[in-house]
Amino acid sequence: MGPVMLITIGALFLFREYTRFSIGELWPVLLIVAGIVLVAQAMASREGHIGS
Amino acid sequence: MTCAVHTDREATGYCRNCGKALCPECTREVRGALYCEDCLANVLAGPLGPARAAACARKDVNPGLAATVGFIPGLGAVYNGEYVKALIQVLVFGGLIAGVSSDMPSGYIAFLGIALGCFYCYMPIDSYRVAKARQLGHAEPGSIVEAKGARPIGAFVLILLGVLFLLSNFGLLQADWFEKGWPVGLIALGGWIIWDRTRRT
Repeated sequence: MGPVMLITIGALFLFREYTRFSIGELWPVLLIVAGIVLVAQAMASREGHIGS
Repeated sequence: MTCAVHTDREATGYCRNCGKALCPECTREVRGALYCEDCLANVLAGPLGPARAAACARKDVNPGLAATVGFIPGLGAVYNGEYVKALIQVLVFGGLIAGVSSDMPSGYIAFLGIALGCFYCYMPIDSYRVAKARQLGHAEPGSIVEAKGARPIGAFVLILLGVLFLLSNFGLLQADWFEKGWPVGLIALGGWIIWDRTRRT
């Protein structure tokens, strides 16, 4: 989750640099990406994980 | 007495935990105490056993303090070391405030206002729960190790809020989607709950 958020923040600033969109318009992408990662974590297989 | 597994051999000891008779091959010794393989496997691999919890418990975590600082958006999560969760809480809180003071159609603003209230109560409660779990050495609520069956409700809320704010930022949010459409949301939620419950074993 941490690395994914870093990548997303970086991508967001890249977008700001090379397109007409601003952070003020695109920041909700951070929430959406966080939600997607959490869903992926919940759906991932727990096989072999200690405590599962 | 004969071994519980190898019934043709004499037992040389008994499991400290369950009392099963053990031959030398079945005996597992840990710091001078004898255990059977099943008990060791259950404690190590099962949901956090009491012995493991006691080993993971931390005295320096104060759940009351966590709840108190939790009233400042993100600080409760920072106290518990959940830095990305802190970032997300700040984003959500800031976004909700911005949304409530924006020019969205009034139906959405009402919804966001209620969401803001709920979210502001959720933050200290969540900080308290996580801190309590850390103090006792239990699995932290929301961590990957926790309940298999738990549905990622927070994730769906995040995606929903993100899409809502994104649409609003680009001026695509229509007033009557919410004003006419909210009962559809209730129906869909009820349907999903039914489907989800019939899906589980």
